[in-house]
Amino acid sequence: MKNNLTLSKDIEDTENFYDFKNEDNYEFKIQNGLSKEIVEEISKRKNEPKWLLDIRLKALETYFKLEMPVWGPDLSELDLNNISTYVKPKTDLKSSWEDVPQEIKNTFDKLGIPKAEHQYLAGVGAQYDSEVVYHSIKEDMKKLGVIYTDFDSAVREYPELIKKYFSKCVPIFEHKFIALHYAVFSGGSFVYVPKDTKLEMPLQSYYRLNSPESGQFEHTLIIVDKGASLHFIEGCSAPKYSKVGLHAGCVELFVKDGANLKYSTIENWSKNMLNLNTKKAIVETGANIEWVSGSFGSKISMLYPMSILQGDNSSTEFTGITFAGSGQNIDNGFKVLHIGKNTTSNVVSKSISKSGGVATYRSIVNVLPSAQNAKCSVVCDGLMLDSQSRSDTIPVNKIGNQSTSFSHEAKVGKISEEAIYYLMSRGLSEQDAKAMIIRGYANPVSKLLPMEYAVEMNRLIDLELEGGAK
Amino acid sequence: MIKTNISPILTTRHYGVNDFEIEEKIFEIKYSKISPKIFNNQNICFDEMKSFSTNLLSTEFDNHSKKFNNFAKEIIIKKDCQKPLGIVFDENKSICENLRIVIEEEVNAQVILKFLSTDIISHIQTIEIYLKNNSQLKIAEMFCFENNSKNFVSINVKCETKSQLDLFLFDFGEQIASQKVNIDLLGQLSKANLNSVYFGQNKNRLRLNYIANIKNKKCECKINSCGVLNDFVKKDFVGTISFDCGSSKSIGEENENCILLSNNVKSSSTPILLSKEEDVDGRHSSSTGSIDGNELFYLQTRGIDRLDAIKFLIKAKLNKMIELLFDEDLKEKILMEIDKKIDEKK
Repeated sequence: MKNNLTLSKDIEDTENFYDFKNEDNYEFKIQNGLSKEIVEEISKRKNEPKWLLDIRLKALETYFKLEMPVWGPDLSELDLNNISTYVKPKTDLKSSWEDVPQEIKNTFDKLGIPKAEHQYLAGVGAQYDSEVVYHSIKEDMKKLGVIYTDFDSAVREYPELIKKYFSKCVPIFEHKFIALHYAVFSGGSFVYVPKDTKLEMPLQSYYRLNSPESGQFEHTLIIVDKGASLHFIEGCSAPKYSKVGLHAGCVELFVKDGANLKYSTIENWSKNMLNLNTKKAIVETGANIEWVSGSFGSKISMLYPMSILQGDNSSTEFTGITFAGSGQNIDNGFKVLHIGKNTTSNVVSKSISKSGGVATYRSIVNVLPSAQNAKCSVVCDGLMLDSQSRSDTIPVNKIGNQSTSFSHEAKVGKISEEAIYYLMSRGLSEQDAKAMIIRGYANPVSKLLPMEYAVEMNRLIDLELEGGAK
Repeated sequence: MIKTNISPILTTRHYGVNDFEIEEKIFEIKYSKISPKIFNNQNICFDEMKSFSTNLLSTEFDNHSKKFNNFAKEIIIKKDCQKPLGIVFDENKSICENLRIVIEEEVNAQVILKFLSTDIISHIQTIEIYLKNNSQLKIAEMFCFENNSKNFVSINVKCETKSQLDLFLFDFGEQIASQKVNIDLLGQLSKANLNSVYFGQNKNRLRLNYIANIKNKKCECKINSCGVLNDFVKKDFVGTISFDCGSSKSIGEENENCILLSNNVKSSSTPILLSKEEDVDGRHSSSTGSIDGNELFYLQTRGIDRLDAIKFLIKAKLNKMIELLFDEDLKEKILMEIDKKIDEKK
């Protein structure tokens, strides 16, 4: 294995590893802006049923009614008149990499997706700009009844399931950017894991936004039926352009009685992207959802995955790390709503800010009166690597009954000088010592990921420390 | 309805913690002349105010406090206090007081403000405190109003180099209680400790908004809040420690503990940490829960009556702050008041 203690030459050489661009060679790119005609055009191109178009138009109406948030990072540079909400690449959906156009295949090769699929994944979905270009699932998974397909195919092939669950976890009126999402969504994945089916290998979806001045609005819908279990991994990246890009995706997760879902994300959007993603899970009786999140990219990020512990004895864990470097304002966190009895939530969130980056942890733990005997624990730590940066924690905790046990703790500060000195006295350079301490700080997250992703995450940390991934 | 006592950092309005809404009719109260009892005021200047202090709760409170106050004094303490300056408001009349307290350089001072009523009253307090270089002030406030009273407190503190503030707030429950305390640690090596104890019962609404801005090097600030909630109380606690640029080697700590005695309470806690400076140590913690059943059972097996056991455990939790008090008489009164509050719910 590569020696991760020092920045290896290949990392230095691939300083802009994710920052490679293909020519903006699309089959169709919708005009910039947002209007009823644009929404209808997107729906028409996808040949969608009327009920889905009705949802889009209702969402559009809601978007124009809702106001911009008065809290959080400044979103004034977001101008939809400069963004194309739909870019179709020059290919349809393929189920074999050989059939994917060479340029797009090369993109995903560079990102390691086909190799990962071959080595350790049960299925892969790859989205390029606004459409899924590749989707496949191993035969033995199909035989078990596992459904893993792109969202457009799911609408055609499983309309009853989609109708039953679509927009039921994240309603269209929840906030302005989810309304935008529902108006122009395209791409994404649909997963259904049948009862008592336990997938040993993860499924992965990867999202790559290549086209400049555009947005990605994928919709992921996952249903893990009773007693089943799944690990789903999501990755994303984009090359950097001078103009702002937008990501306003949506993830809806339904974890049925006794089921387990692990949802891992390594987010590495380019530093011109605004990441306004929404993720939510409804967890039923005796079920569990575990969120693992590494956020390294975006110019501005507002990301607050949420677990609704609806069923008795349901539980959730969240382990996340955020890196805010130069020019970044990363306002991330977690939300949990306890409804059922004997529910449990554990949150561990870490942030690192450097070179003027702003890292904000913003959360809510809400325990309703019905959630008797709830147990919640929140730990959020902020590490500042210099005095140009900023670290804020804004946790809101609302407890609605007497039998809840709740605790929250947080720390903010810098790397211990004693720790650096100790490592340097063992022969490490100051830079390597800092990198090692920071990797240790990030360890609660990396140890929950498959090894290959943990290595990738450590590489991203090294890049950020070097200021490489600009 | 007007929005008051706004949080220093806004978040989504759905969480309901950004502000505290009250009815405008609170400002229709008429105030009569009051004559609080003043003790141990030898060598202390009580001047009429040249300019009124500013109320932090809202513009409406500020305008009201400057126009309608029935007790406005500038208190300048130039020498060490042998005994605490005491001001007792116990006339069962509504109070709108506007005070400025200045502690001169190198002076150690102690101040106790007591508010007692058996009738329903309204209290609007505006205090500005200035601690000059190397001064120390220990100030304790005890609010024992009739249950249906309303209590609005605004305290703004500025601490200069090497000054130290110990502020104690004891609130025994009113229909509406809203406190906003802002502490600016302006000088190097300045310190501030804010200790707040609260009791909520019936349908009380309680809003506690404590802000500490650390603006210089090697400062220390601790915010400790501990309370008991019963019946249908709704409580919002917002505690903010902000490390500004230039606050290197400073320490900020915030702890909030809340004991719930009823399934119908709503307790909200937002401990905020803001840091623009790398070389600081900031931490906060928050915990909420009921009285430990095992501890209660243990005491009862030792022959202690259940109600007495509950009192014992509550006082044990609150004692951390009560024992820091600088006046034995005040400590006793507070402990008696705690007993009284718990007995009311027998």
